[in-house]
Amino acid sequence: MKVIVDSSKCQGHGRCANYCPEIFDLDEEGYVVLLSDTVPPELEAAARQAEGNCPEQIITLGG
Amino acid sequence: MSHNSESDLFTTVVVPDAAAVDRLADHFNLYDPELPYVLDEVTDRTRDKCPVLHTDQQGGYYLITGYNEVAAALATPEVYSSKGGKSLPPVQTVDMPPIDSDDPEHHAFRKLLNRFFSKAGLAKHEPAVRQLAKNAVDSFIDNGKAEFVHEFAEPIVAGALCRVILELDDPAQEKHAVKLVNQIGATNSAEAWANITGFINDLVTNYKPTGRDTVFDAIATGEVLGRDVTAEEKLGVVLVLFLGGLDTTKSMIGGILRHCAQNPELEDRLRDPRWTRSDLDEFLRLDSVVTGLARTVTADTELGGVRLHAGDRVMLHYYAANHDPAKFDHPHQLDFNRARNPHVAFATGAHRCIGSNFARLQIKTAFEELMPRVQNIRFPDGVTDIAWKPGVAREPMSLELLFDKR
Repeated sequence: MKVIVDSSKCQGHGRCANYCPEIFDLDEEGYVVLLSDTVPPELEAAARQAEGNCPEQIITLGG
Repeated sequence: MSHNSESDLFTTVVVPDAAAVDRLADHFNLYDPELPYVLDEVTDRTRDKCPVLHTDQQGGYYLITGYNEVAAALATPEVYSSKGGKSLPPVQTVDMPPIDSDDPEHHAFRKLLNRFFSKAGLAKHEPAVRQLAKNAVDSFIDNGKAEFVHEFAEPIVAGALCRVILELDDPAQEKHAVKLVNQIGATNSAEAWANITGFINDLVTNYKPTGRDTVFDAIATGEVLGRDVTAEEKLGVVLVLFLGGLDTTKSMIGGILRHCAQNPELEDRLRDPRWTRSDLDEFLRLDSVVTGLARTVTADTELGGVRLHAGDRVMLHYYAANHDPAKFDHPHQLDFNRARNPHVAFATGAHRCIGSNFARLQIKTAFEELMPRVQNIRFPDGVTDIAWKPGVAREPMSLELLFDKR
């Protein structure tokens, strides 16, 4: 599954990294850094949580 | 309105009647002492009337209670300006960047400060916060009871803020700082503001840069928009970081313990180290301790079908947005199984609470130190809920709880 993040709109809540740190890392200032644009099946549930809980709603999973 | 005559001032639970709901729904008053007890009913009622509803209190402003309307305003800070302060009516005397700034100053100040409050930047403070939490638990663990706001939450939060922001580790000075802040909460008087402002101004003015990477060094030696930070801005930055982090985090820790006393099954959830990954956000949504912050409209616009004009004041009610049934099913209940919980307890957009991850660290550490050592957290006999302070923060007056040692 592919993941897209509109990182220009990230405000540094850090919630994605709580749910799925294997895919969503944070930089020194706390903004999202995507570690991979492909989510393996075993991480899909966690990545879905990151998508649904991002307060800025800038994470899109699909494909 | 009736009072429980058995209790003293600090534990008196106000029991509002239906008339209070009617009155507050028609004349929403942020500082009404009955409001905290009927906040769900009143914000539901005003949202049903209109999610952008004018009230004649606090000088007149629009109360924004819909999730979509709050989110839309937060996403357009150029229309919903932070300049002129975020209280209603505006009583503060010092302009506090970055919370009271618009771009480009806002971005410049956040750039200067963000790294101290990111997860990575805060990690080095974790042992000190843990020690504060351990000391707090030690102080009451043999008593079987504690007043958790002032004996547990306050020493942890005040201690953490004094170290991370004010660089104080002298307990006497720390106590003094907390006393000054409490005066603001109790009176919101000009004198109380002058006292805390004077105290922090002395710290900032007398500060000699150390070469270490700290908040004080950053504002003493850093630049915004190619210039030095002014003396007034330095004071404002430190003031908002300190004030913004104290009552809020304290109230959240207290609020979670209140839920424990009301729902005994929560204790086991809080002993699972994973609870802060997701459950914490459900507490944050439900309690929304900063119930709202104001903005000033800069240009004629429309929100939720209502025409707003340049100069209008609006209250973005985060609590009400987080309880909007159009966004969250059964919004007044704790539900740890929500698939989507994009709450706005820390706001969204560029003004996202700069201390949100600092608050998370303190809450996580506080409960990691407390929960292995206590069980059967409960209200004293005859008590079923707590008393709230009036005001914008959803703040327990006190939280007397009993427990058994584990």
